Amino acid sequence: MDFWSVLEYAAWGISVVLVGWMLVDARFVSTTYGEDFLLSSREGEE
Amino acid sequence: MTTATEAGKPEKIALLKVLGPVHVWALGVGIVLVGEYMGWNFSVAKGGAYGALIACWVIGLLYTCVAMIDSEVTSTVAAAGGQYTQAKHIIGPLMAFNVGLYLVMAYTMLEAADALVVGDLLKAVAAQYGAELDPRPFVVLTIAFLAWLNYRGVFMTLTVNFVITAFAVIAILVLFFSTAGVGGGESLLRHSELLTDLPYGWIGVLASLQFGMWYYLGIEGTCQAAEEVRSAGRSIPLGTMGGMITLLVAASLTWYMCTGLIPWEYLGQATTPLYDAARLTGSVQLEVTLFIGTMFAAIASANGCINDASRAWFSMARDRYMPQWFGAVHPRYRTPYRSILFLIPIAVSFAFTGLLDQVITFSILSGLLGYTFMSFNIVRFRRLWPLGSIERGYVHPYHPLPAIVLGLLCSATYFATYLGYGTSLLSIMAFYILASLWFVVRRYPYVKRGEQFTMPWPRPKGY
Repeated sequence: MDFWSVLEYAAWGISVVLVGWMLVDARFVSTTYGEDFLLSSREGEE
Repeated sequence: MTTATEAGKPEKIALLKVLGPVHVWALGVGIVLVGEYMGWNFSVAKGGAYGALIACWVIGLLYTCVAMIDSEVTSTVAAAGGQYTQAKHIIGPLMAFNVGLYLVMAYTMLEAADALVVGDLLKAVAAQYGAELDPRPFVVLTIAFLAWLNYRGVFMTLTVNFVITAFAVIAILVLFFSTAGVGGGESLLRHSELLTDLPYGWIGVLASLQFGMWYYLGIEGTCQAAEEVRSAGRSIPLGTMGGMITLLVAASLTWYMCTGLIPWEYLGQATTPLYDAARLTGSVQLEVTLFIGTMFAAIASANGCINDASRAWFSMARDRYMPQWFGAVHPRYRTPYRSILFLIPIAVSFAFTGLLDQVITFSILSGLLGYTFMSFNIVRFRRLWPLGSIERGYVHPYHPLPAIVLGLLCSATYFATYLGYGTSLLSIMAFYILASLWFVVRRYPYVKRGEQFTMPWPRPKGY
């Protein structure tokens, strides 16, 4: 396997890790906090 | 679990107000600057070198009007969603839905195109070493990494954008000072030999207007940061107008250098004209600097696009123009995390089509529809809430002249687009008409009509 092939696999691997991390975190947030709280942002309010 | 305050009421969450004028500048210029590194030069193929310069300045005028109008309205309607929120307050729900959709489509498609550029640049590097590289994993990595950055917080996202955008701007200045003979050195530019008359006459100049938009496309994205800046009345006008000045200078320098180094017949077809200009100087340092500049410009653009598309989608969801689930804010990072996540597969899908020119044409046309909206939006805004009736952070001068000029230049650019991409123009119009029908018939019943109008303004004049 040459250098460029390793680079391609590394790019796929890092992408999967990053997207996976976001999905796991989003799932964690959804189970830890209530929807009313997560959706409580209102336009024009501090 | 719902976090509760001492009073027993549910605690509220909001996007974080941490940005300043520098971040607004980085967002606007970051999205646009890739157009200086590539794309603008297709206007040379349509109208010749002088035609491209006319397009650069005429479209520069269009965007100056956009920046002036946008600064006034956004400094008053300071909310994420930008033009979508403006349309909701000033025109009505159907216009707001369409403008929101223009924003999401324009930025997501531009993001996909930027990621494609990063992949193609790496493929070109590998080819120089005799290797064949699959660009797809790098396209996905670009989108995934920038989405992750956006997910983790707006301050770091736009600070990174500031650093890489500033590098890309400085790279253009370095190339200019190295080639133009400023400061005593010999000029490498050969305008007297390379510049010609208009090869296709004035119709060619008109056709070149479409590609002149590349110099500035996306500067209006600054107003998506309105809900996250510490002072919208100060930061948005300062960042937007500062960004517009940067782009006008960068665009003029880019044209000056490239037309002095590359014959117009070649320049009109080049993929990376600034990088090619650096290669023609024979300097390895300049070549490396402009390669990094090209790469950074594409990454900064994709980064800003993720920021803006997610804010527009988030704002529409918050008003239930889209499913409310997307209107969630991350309790720790204070970002619209579900919108950011949702748009990742959409951007990857656009990128994997590989149709770079079609994707960008769709993006440009969505932007152009948005600018057309701005021209009559400001007229209605001034009529319903005249000066003095509400507090404005910035008042643009010479009203209604900028609105009239903007409307006329948008019409000319539609005609220019029709000359080159008539089918795309008609397709996109059909798409937005069908989307509008879906909104009216299926989605509007879910919209919280009474809660949409959030600005503490008096009753509009005449109502």
